[in-house]
Amino acid sequence: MSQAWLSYDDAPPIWLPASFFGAAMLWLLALGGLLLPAGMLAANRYHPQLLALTHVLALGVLGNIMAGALLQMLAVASAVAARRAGRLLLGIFLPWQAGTALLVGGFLHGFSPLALQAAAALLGAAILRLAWHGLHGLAHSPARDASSRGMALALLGLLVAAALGLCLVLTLSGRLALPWLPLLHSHVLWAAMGWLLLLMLAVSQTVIPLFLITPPYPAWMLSTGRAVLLLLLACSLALLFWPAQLWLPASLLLIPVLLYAVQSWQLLRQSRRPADPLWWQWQAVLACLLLGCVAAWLCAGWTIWPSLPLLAGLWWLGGAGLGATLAMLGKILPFLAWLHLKRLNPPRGLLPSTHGFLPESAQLRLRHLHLLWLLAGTLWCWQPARFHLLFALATLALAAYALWLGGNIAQRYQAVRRALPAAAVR
Amino acid sequence: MSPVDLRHLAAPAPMEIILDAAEQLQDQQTLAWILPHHPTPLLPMLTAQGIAYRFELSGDGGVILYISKA
Repeated sequence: MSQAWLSYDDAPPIWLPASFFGAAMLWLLALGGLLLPAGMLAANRYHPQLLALTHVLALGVLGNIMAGALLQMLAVASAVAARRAGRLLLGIFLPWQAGTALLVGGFLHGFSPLALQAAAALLGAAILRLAWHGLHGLAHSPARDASSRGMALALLGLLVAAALGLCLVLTLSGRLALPWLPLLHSHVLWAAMGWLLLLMLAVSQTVIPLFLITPPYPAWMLSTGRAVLLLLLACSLALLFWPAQLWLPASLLLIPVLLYAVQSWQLLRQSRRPADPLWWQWQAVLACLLLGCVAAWLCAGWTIWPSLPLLAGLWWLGGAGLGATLAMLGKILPFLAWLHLKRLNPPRGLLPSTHGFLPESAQLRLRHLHLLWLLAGTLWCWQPARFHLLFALATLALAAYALWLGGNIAQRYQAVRRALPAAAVR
Repeated sequence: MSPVDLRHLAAPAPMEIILDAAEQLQDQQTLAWILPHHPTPLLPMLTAQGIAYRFELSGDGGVILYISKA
């Protein structure tokens, strides 16, 4: 980061990102609850329970964390102010939660057209509002660094993924007669790579050098992001004409993932903080990205083992996506709490360090729980009827621990705030 | 005055140390630290505290931050 315009005055009030992060943990709890009944007895990527679970994880858990972190990063690192935080809460947060709930309900109740269409309208509105805030803000911002440009690319990816999702809903509801298989493949590719991977790529270019003290990512990493969007566009068009030839886009899209993983590993090897929990977490994230990508590539041409698409989704969304977002939250949340209190000029000795809000030992335990969760999920993908309870309990444990840590941070934040002189708080 | 090397510390620990020291800075006093890179997120906070800063290259890949009262 080398922005001369960087200003904390543009940062949203802490309750805005905190609302998204808190909601994400509640959705993780809901994911555990939805896994309790043995709905899917054998691995089937089109089973309604699996579609519901995937969207709880993708939109409820990851989507909330990514949207909250994006609003914060846009404000602090890219000078896109979030001054009307109440409007952002109304325009993004509330329809995001309601839309996700309706989408999940729609899947679980026999693909209810009414619920799915209402969900698509709400989620579409929330995503449009987020994309407008980010893209319009970035277009008028002086920020031209890799993270800012990368966030713009990720928002474009999100917009296309949402548009394809809307087309899928309208096709499933019988309102449009579009070829659903190419639409489905394109929706998955744009959401997984255009949104999740590109945002990870953008944010890690700031966060990894900053927290792990590594050299910066090379400038060509931004070109990799642009290439991903072009590849996705080409793949979506190709799928329209050759819907069964999924192996070609899957093979092409392996390349940027490999480039990102290899480059990140090279940087991590040069890190001056190899004992930091984030270092280990990021290694696991990269391993899951590769595992997920290879599994997706295999299931493009090999349909004998029905667990493979589930494993691809679990490792990509749950391993890489959730691993990365939990790791980032472990750094960002304590820093946000510390920063907001620091700006209130607390008397000396009152404000703890960031580790006082979240010790590294807690981050380490969260990492271990996440790895256990991933193991339970892998078993569930293999034999859902046998391991659903184990996966449900692992999900509930992970969610409960993450919520407890979030509650601790909130308690410490409030304790310092209460101890501040009244003039400072005003 | 030899600058203190903070390059082994991850963000935001160097920021916490520097802001803490900036609060106790005396008139005419100058403090210095070696950092792994240009500490952009720190600068608006130093400015808000009425602190002046300047940089030098450390010669081994880092930057030396000097602060004094504005």
